[in-house]
Amino acid sequence: MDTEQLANYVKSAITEGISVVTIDTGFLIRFPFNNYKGEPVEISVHTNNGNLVIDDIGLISGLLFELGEHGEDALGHLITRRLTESYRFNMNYNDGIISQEVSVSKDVEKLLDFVQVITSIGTVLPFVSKPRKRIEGRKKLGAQLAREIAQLRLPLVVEKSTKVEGKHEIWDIDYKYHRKEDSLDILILVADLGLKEPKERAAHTVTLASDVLDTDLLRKSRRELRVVYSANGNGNDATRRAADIIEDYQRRIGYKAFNYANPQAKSSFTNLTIQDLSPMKL
Amino acid sequence: MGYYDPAPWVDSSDSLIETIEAELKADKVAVSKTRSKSRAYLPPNTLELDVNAKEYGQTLRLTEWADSIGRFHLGLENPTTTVRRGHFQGRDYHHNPNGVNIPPPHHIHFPTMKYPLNQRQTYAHPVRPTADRSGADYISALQLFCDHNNITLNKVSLPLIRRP
Repeated sequence: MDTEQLANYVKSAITEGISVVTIDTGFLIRFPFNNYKGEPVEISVHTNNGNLVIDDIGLISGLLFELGEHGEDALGHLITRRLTESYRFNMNYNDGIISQEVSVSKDVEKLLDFVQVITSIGTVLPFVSKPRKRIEGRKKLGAQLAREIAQLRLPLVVEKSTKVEGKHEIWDIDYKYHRKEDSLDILILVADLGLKEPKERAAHTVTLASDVLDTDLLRKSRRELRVVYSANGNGNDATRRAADIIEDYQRRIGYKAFNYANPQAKSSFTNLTIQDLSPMKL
Repeated sequence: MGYYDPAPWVDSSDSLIETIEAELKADKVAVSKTRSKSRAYLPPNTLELDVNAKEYGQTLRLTEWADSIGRFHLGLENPTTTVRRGHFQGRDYHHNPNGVNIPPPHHIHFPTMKYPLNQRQTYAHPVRPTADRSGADYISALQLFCDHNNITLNKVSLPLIRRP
């Protein structure tokens, strides 16, 4: 492709990317620039007392809302306000609309400025938006397990937040109970990977498992360790790698891992616990 | 409806994101959310609900707003990503990456392995109005969106939601 061909290609990509659609109040101009959602930047044009009024049809306030950047002190809101004030556009707080009145004959630059500002805001907003607070967390998963075990109405049978002796160390375990049927101690560890340091959590889990399931100890008392973790697959890479560590080491060390974010694994863990805790077996 | 499986709309070289679809299949309950009354800059009609996915121990965020030309924009995001995006009362066709065109007025975008929901091109499936849910107003658009994503709305006071 030579320079002339490239120039023609770029020119056609821009000009053909612009379209005009008639709407009830006037018309809509759609530009070949997309916001962070992959949607085209659009502005509406209508007349008012012989002048043209251009507005953003509320798309910027909508983006701010979706990103949680609409609050008075939010950075996205501040950037929007600074830019609209600098360019002397009207920012209507009642309607959530940015607009500008332009003279038909001589204000084409204002129209271009308007497009530039709206496009810029739409581009920058996702990068200033703070990620939503992670709701997955140890408390959530721990609380969920606690609720489900409590529903079995078997107080005193299940020990909560207890200590378990390993070969080298004494460890905190979330739940422990004894299954008389085969004289087995069942240990349950909650390893929530929605925490800040999923790698450390996975490493802790594997170390704990190796120590409490040491073969010398298992000769004296029979134990089974169940590790309940939560990783729903669309978390970050560190969470996924931590989940892989817990899954990979279960065969080598001999614990059972259950991903609570996976309905099948969750159901399998719940059924196992319910069976164990049935009055016939205790 | 419970859950709408968009798999038939996806080209064979691509696939849905299993973990996201599993979360959407799970039962979810929407509950009202209170918002602070600071001088926020918002569209005039906005709705924000928490959607509890108990099975996952997660709370998703459901938003709806209307632009000034009467289109309804809905979004459903989990703590890490947007899992669905609904466009109701649109005027244009949506063009799927595999060449299939979705006619107006309603469609819901969904992510696939090749086309997550932050790209110029994304997949969408059509949403057909039902006898009691046209999707042409604020409430029925919300109801149709929730119907397709297994979200129960009976804990939300729908009559209290501001209408445009």
